[in-house]
Amino acid sequence: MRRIQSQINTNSADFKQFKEHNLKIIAEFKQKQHDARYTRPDRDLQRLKKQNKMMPRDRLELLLDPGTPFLEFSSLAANMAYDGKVPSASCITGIGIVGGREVVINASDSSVKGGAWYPLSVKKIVRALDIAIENRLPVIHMCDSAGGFLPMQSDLFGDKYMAGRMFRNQTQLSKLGCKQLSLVFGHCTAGGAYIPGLSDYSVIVEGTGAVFLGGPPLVKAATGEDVSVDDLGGARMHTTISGVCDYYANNEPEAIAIGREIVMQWEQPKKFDIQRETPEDPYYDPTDLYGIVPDDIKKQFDVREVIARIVDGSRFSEYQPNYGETMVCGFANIWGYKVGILGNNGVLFNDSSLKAAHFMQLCNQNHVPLVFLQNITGYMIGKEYEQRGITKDGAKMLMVQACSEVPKFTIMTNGSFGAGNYGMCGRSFDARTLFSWPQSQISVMGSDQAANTLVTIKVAQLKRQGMDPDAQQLEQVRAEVLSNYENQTSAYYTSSEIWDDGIIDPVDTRNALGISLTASLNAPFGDPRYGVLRL
Amino acid sequence: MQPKYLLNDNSHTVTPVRRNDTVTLSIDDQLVTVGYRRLNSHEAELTLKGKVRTVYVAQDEYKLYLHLDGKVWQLDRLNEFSEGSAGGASSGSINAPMPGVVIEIYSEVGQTVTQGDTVMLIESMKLQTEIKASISGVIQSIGVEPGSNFNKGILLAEIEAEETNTESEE
Repeated sequence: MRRIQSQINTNSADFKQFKEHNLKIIAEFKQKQHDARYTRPDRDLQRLKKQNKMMPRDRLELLLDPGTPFLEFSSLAANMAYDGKVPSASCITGIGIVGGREVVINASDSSVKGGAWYPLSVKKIVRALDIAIENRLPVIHMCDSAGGFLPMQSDLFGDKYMAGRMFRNQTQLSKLGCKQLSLVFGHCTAGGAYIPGLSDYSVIVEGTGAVFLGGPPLVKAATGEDVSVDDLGGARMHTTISGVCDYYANNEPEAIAIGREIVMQWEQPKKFDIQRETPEDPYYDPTDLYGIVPDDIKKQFDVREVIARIVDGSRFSEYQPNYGETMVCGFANIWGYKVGILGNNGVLFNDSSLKAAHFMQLCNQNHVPLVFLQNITGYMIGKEYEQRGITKDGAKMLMVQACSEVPKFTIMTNGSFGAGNYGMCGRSFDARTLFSWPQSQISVMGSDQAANTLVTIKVAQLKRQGMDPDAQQLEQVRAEVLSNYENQTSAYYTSSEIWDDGIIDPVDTRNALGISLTASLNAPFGDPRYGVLRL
Repeated sequence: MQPKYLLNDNSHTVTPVRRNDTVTLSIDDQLVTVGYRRLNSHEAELTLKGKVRTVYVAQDEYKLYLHLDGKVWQLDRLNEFSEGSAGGASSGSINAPMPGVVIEIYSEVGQTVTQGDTVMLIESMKLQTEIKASISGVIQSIGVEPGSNFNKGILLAEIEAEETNTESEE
């Protein structure tokens, strides 16, 4: 495979300007992420200390194999919800290594609102368990949650993908043979009791850990019975009388040590065999990405320059290099694993859509996982393209993409607008993992276009009310609309709502894809099969 | 068909025959077995007839420069069947690739441009696209103005090739 010849001049004015612009964005992102992980009101820290509990991230550090990577999901979940007071949606999820085995972690963050489940917490946990199901990974639950946040119960309880889905997913995991271990650090009350209850293994900590369907106050109210926490659902009771939990631990570190020992008894999974070479670092420096991504979403960049900074040896075997050139397709290796990459170099035309569809068929035929690098403003519109059936060709691309049996991974590198989001494996299309770069944007149309449309509507409204806005007023209306729209278009909003699995620094893209890829090989690949293609 | 390579202007036919720990190549119908181990992106270990040597590699477009035993070798793949780029010869006419609007024009009539220079910036489908000179030469005409809308296919700019004394003139 030939190395990509980069055309980037790292001394050019554009490069320097873009780099300065992007480094500011990265610094802001890193700060937000750090705050979400570690900045807590003092009273929450004191409360944990008083209860003799460890900080959730310290527990995680003890649990994971030292020096191994942890691919954290949605660290900025809920960053724009609940007045920003529920960082990371009060839970920590991700893929980590325990005893040499890949596991999904679902840890309550009891330093945030006692680990209470907000609607977005439930969404984040359900997503983590979906990832476990799709990739056939075991799960370790680190339970220390106050349970559902009652004032918002109607937004987290009744519907198909709400709280019940966590337990439903647990049952499906077990049915698939994916092991689950619960470490009970705090109270698991009501629904929460089912997390250890549905796990194959559980460890409970003396004093702080408890499992019951109804806590002492509820028992008192319902039946008049007076009972202590320990007698009702404490560590001693559950490991000697009820059998709800398997192992008794004197304290948290001991519970984690027992947990690690349990995991190390599990069989080592056999992975699906795909083509693999010896891994090699990219030839071009990944930090160049800061100078490649422009300072304006409308400015174009060559996606090959991005590929050159993600793949092994910057080597890329391009497919149909002179056909449908706005869609760049080709083969490369990431951490040694052979992948098929689809990246955008402009709008999707008829030919570019057909090229993508054909390329994805090749990848399915050859068991090659797909990587989508989204920077797409949509499918081309206009009379000529409609007459040539752009809808049919876009539908073919969608059909093949959605029916792909090989694992898919999506990176939002810049813009993701309109149907382009769908075609390039947006959130609805089951990418095994989907990460966003901090400056990326998602919306049904570009913010300028949306603002213009919304301003036209607003002006018509004002005129109907007998007002005639002058230029200055118009500009004010426009700025207001634009700011609102841009807020909801930003990667922070995307990540807050868990439309992705987290924001990542572009230089971490290769590693995030590497961990996602190796995790995906725990599930077998199916044989290619599609629906009806409108030819 | 077997691929041909140019090594310092001498053509050789090379085909891999077997590949396991070592690679067996057929070079001009002679079988040669070599071991090759990449050390990093520039350096590799070459084992030939039991002797281990270090080779340094640098790539420039499609040419490879190899440094071995104090000598530099230039290796290029010989393309017997298609000469030049797959896109065919470029013309000096730059036509609009899609409908859009002109954002900025960077060149003027009479200006000399090099192939790949940005002639103008257009916007279509929320995306700005740089329109580049298809050949080197002198700009003969520019068919649009900043801010103007255009349809697909219209002539955005025309460049006349620099070298007017070649066969193309005849």
